Amino acid sequence: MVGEIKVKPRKRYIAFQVLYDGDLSERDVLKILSSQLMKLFGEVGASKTHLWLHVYKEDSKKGLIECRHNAVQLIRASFASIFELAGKPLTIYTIGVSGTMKNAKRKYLDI
Amino acid sequence: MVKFYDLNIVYQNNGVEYLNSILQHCFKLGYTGLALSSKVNLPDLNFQRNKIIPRINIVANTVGEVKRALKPLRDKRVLISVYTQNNSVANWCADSGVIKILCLNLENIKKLQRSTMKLACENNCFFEIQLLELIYNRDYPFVKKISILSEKLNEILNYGAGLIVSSGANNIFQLRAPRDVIALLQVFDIEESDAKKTVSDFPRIIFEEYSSIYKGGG
Repeated sequence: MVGEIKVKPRKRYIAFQVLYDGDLSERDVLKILSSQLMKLFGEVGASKTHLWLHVYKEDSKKGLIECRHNAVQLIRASFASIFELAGKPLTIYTIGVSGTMKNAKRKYLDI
Repeated sequence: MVKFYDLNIVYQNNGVEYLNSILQHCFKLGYTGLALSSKVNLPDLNFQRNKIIPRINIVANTVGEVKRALKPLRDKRVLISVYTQNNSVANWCADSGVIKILCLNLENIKKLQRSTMKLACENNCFFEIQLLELIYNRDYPFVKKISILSEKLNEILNYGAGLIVSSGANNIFQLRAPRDVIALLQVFDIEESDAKKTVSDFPRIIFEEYSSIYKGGG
């Protein structure tokens, strides 16, 4: 009997920077991102990204997101379409994308 | 390495410092060249001259208005763009050879005719849509915005006309990273390769034409 070969899902790690004149917690960032993803791609589309916020540094407003490799463009599109929070301008942009968390942290977040 | 260009940074205040910070942020995001419409003199900026070209935006509803606006610019070889709601003005501009960019928004893109696209193709005139229109415009619901833009932008690209996506930004918050813009354009049903052309290949043609004028001291 030949056993099934389980293929590990390919992941990407997206480092991002938030620009906002105010305090933003990790929870706020996750809420903004997931609601924007759902607005653009619906609940099914958003669920397929397997979004996971690993790191968010409140002082530098930089963070790291894990997602499936084929969802990078969806996340980037969500970043680009976010423009305000509570009447204040808010921008999120991608610093870089990496295949491993270790590399992403080292290259983009200086951790 | 792919080079990206943002051909519409708008800055109407006189402060050089804030403008410098906007431009610095643009280069940090990954743009290679910029076009700036501002009252500030380019030599006052802290950047290499070959990275920024000046641009003048004209808003007109008649051909006469465009001609009047062009008169003082006759000897200045600057990048000129026109925004108009009128189709005959758009046709005249596309045919003129002087006007390089026709600005589009959700209002005038609906009226855009194939004859204008044809003239633009023949005379190397490019259509431009601003990110402000894609993201910030609240006159239309998002669904409506996607349906109008996906149809018209694809029509322009399929016709073979040049399309540029620029920021139209006057502050840091309105700027987006070029690869994020490419991803956003895919929401409007534009293929990745075409989306890349709108922030890279098409604006590069214009940028190189005008930056060579400035290098040559024109």
